[in-house]
Amino acid sequence: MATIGIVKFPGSSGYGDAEYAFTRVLGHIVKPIHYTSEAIRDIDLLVIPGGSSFGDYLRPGALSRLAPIAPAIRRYARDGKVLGIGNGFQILCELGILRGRLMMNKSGAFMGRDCHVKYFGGSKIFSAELTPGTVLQAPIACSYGSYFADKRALRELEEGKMIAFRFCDSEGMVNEDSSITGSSDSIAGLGNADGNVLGIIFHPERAVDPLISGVDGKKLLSAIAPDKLDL
Amino acid sequence: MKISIVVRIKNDIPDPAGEAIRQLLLEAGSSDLRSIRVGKFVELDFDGGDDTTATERVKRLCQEVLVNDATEEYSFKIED
Repeated sequence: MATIGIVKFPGSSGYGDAEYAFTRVLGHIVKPIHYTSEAIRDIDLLVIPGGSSFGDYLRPGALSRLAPIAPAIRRYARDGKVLGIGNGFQILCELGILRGRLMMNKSGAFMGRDCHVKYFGGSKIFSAELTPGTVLQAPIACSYGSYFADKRALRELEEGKMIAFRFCDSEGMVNEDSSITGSSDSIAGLGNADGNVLGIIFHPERAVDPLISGVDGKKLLSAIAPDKLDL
Repeated sequence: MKISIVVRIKNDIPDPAGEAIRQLLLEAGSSDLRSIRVGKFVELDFDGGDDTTATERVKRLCQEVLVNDATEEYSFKIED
């Protein structure tokens, strides 16, 4: 059993889904962390959940730069394990913890649907249970889910094994058509250079029950072993 | 002191919102419309201050939060 800190920004509507997945489904302890907190301590994994922090005003995740907790997140991300989901991914990019940023979907519209993603390895927040090549089905729910980085950054991300997930089809094939949001290089999840931070645009915490959206998300989240990892 | 800032998506980066509006306007008869780029307009109003100070503050605010320089660029004008 691990202690999962979940950050609550105004508009973090995905907090409840993350809390449910980590407590009721996976049996961990959740510690809410308010956005006005100036320190993050006594947790094994920091989760920045989905939603629309600060109303998505200016750019999704942008106003989190001004939140009192922002310096603490940056400090924690130096060596602590961090998972950003949906808006949490956008926040990690806006805080400069992850490179690039999430832009408007290529369709120009909100997308709420299941998608397939393929794990490419490189992240240290997962145990060996999640093997590279694994294809998972999980929902996305976003207007700004199109990851962008310039060509040089993409090359460095690839060389540094920081591209953890790519959109794919149900067979695991990655091509231009499979990038449903329009992400550069079909990126659906990205890590930092040390592998202790991961941002994903899809929602595994909403795919933990066979009655709704399947259980592939549970497979992914249960492979996060914050109490066993030695970074 | 009033300052207006225009934030644009960089020219080499796709703008789905602009493209969606262009498509609609094309269908509405604007057949000569080559492109539309959608940006943001931000107006700041400071108590007092001089042009030099205001310029530095605006640049800092843009770098800190108003603009994401990975994909956006900005220009600004001191109104009065």
